[in-house]
Amino acid sequence: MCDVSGDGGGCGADAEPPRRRRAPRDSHPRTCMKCGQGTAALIIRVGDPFCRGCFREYFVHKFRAMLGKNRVIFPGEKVLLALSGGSASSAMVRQVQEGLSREAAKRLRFIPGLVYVEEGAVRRQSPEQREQTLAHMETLLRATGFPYHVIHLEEALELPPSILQPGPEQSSKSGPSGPSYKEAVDSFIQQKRQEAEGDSATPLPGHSTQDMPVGPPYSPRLPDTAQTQELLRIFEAVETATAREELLQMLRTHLILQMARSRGYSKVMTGETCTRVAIKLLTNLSLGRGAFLAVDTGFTDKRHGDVMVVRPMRDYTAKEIAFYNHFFNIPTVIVPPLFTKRREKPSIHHLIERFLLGLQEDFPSTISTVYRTGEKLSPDPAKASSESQRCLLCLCGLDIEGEEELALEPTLIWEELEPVGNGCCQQGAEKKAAYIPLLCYSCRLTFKELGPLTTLPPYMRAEAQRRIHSAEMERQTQENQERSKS
Amino acid sequence: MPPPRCSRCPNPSSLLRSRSLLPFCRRCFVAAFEAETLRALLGDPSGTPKPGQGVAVAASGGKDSTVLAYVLSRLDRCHSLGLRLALLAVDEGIAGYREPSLVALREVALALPLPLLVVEHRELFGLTVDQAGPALGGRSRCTLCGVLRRRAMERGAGEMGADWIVTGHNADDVAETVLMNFLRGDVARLRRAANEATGATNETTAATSEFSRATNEATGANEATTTTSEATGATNKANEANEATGATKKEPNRNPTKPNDNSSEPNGNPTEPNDKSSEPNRNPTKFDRNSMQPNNNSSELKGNLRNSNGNPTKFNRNPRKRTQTPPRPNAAPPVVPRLKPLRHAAQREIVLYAHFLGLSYASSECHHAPLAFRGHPRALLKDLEATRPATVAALAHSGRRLALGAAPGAGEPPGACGRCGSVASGDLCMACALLAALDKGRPQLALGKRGVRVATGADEQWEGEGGERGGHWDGPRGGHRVGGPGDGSGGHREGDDGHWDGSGGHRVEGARNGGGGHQEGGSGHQEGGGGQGATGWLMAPGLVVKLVAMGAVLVVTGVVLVATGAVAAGMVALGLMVKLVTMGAILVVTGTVLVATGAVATGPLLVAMGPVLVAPWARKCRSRWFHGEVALSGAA
Repeated sequence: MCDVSGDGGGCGADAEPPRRRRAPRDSHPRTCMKCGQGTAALIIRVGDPFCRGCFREYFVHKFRAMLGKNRVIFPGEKVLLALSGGSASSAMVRQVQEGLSREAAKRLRFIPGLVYVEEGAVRRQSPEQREQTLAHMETLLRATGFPYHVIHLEEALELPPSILQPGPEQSSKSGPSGPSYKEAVDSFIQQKRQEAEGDSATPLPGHSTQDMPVGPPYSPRLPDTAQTQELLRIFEAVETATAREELLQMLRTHLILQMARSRGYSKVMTGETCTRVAIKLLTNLSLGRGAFLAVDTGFTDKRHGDVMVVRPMRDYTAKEIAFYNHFFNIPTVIVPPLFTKRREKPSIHHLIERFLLGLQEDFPSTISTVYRTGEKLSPDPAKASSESQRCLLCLCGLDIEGEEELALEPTLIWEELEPVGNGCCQQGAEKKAAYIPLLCYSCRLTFKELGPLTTLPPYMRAEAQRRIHSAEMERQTQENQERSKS
Repeated sequence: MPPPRCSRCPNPSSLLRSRSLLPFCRRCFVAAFEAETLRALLGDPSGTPKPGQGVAVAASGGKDSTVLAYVLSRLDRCHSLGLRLALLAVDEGIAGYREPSLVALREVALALPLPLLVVEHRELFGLTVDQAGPALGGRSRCTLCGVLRRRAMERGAGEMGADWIVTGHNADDVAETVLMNFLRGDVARLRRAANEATGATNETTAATSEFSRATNEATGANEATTTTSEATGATNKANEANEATGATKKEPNRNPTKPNDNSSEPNGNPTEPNDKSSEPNRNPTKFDRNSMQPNNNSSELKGNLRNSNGNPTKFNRNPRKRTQTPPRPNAAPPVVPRLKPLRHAAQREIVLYAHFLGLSYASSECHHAPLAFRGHPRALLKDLEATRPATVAALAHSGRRLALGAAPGAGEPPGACGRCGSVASGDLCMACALLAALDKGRPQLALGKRGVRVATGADEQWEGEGGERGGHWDGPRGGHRVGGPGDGSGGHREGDDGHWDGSGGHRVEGARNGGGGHQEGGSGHQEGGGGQGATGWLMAPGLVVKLVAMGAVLVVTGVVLVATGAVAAGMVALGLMVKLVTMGAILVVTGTVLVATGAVATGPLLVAMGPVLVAPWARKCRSRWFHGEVALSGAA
């Protein structure tokens, strides 16, 4: 390159090593850029050294600012914190703890609960390892002092089909509009005052209105082996690592959602970081979910109607979280990743993660650029006008309308491929292709790789049957009407 | 293990299709591929070519364009689409890369057989990518190359009278672009792509049909006329607006309006210009009265120039006003709409198609390519495709569905570039902004937000005295300027362009008599005040060169302004002028000739009827650029 261009002006600029700050002449540590006194403990961004105290303040402020700016969590509301044991969600739980223990004026005023989904079955953990992880998690959960729930992934087999329908939206509290939020705050303060007058001995904050005992009597017992086998059968029938990853996410979301619904939580908080959001944005883009990026990664996700998913950690980079956890000794539990089959291509999720983190090394603004691009997207296309226009699996509005036939071809299932002579496909009233019209573009692609229908989680099949049936009924009534007219 | 049977016929299969993962044999695959291309061509939401329309295949000699050209000519024959197909190639001047591909392309053109037009960067813009590359550095050179190539393509298509440009973009390219724009956070591009594909479909079809209508009208000899009349109107309006801005201007400034009024007429009737030319001459002579003296005495001229330049407030006020009131001098000229018939075809299948049919194509890689950022998303896409072939289609789908809303100011029609008149999103089109910044030796800026400011001369601090300048004349210029050491006078020269700008209306009409027919030449109009309403390329220089080479005589009526290589409308590059003259053209100039840098003649072939003003600094660089004498037969 250089010898061709002659002067190497351009190449020289490229080959230059990434800009580094010169080390100070004397090797004294730098001072904090915020208070100017403390010794810098870490550099958040290029040229921003922070001492421990200031970093902590910065970190806590970010969390509160995120909630305060968006105003979606009402005082007195029950919020379910989804905890995986990983660093981001652990930091999130710590933030909520700190927020609740603050002096009255600045205190967070929602009622938290924790949920942990135990996924050892699909993470290739032996029963002993699962027990161990579970016991570890239990100690952490109990230490928070919040009510908590443990769900095993196996329980997804018993989910009701209604989980695939959006719940009734609470009209009074739905929008993040100013007045309704203000009203809610005012009424909450009134209520508190009355309570205080009635009973001078106010119970501990956060625990006052809870309707269940702290830490339900839960003994760490694993589900039946039969159930575990059944779950593994479902996951093993999935043809690709990408679809398996998607299935796991789907089941996890549905389990948390079910827990929130049954226990009366109206918000779920998840701990996606900025880094994670950027990865998810690019992953979902590659999965064909371009229309739904805003709901998949945005601060609020209202697709489930009654339960809103909130992502308060999406402003933190993975680095900030890691340092916070390290400095303030936030315990985390690490579980092995989802199993992969031998000779299987890596999942899209994995590829994108590797790519983005790798590119971040050379171009340090990559993740924030992707994140900011995602911020500009609107959540509108995810809204479904009717049930027939809503994706069976992801509950987003179908994004098929107006698409060229040629573009849709990769999402279709070619029935004629299957050997017709067997008779088994004729007989089974259920056909994979019949599911396709119910799904959005990306769920079609994933669904194609989910394996035979018989290994689909039962609630998905039941709901699909219902949808196919009702669509059939509708068509028939229409036909009848037309016939009667003519 | 024998391969599975073809899903369409009993033959053994040769491949699994990317889109459906079904096995296909060679014959069925080729048939399916062609059928899909036809469906994509006729099912394009933005419009489809009608029988009898001209379709320019943007061809590089690589696999995509070769396959596209082949498939289209085959479809045209088999389905009697009645398209007028032609190949259009751009020579960017990249050593070791473009030559072999052009050789391959010529073979393709011979084999099909289709007419082939090669447009050269050097000819259009006066510089090659190899020359500009070092000045631009790493990745930027690919940006420049891309921007200029698209511009060259448009111009080539216009010259050919094509109604459509078809490009060989395949599904992989589309997916890659989505990935890349997302990674770079290029929301504007993402939005444009998304809106084109879905929301604004109706609008675009309307627009394209209009475009195609306009192009239909513009085909052939009419081309110049239609555009000219439109442009004249716009210029006049712009002039009025100019005056209305309140800058009190005297004689010279009002000049431009007058010749413009006249010029719309002669265009209608080719025989008239000679009569009319005496009229517009009145303006130059009026103007000459001021300048005749200085011509006799160069020092006075100097003073005069200084003088007019010494009224910076006057000229200065104008450009600034212009930036405050949104310029939008005229609606964008008709754009040749682009189609991508291979947009659903996987790259892999294109290669297979070429392989099965034994098509030969060039597959050399550009030596600048490793510097492009595109390499990163490309590598990722290859991995993604390996794990799930449908990812390519899924990314394209995502790109079409991104909910970015309407662009700010989406309702307005695109404006025209203040310099060259082609479609531009801002004051200047990307190509002009890049070229101008490159000329100023600040190429890096061209890619940033300040690019247009640098180009339009709003960037005053750096300009010094040159800040008064409209930034208008330093248009496409010779490659010798790029990174050249002897450019010390650059700022100076450019700085005074403002003077030329403000000092009069200039018009060039070329009459081609050689071939028997009459061809309206580069008829442009320019007025003061920093780039209001440039009229656009009325005739591509490539064509002028060809005509002159064929023996045409270029008759220029009106003032010729040769400021840093731009003849008259600022459109004809220095390179062109020199080329014409060295080829033996006789440039008959009946008006005033203003020579700023000494760009004109390399031989005693410029016949000027009017006075010739040679700016003092032009004499300075005489030794460098003047190889001959300017023969003056006028009142010099």
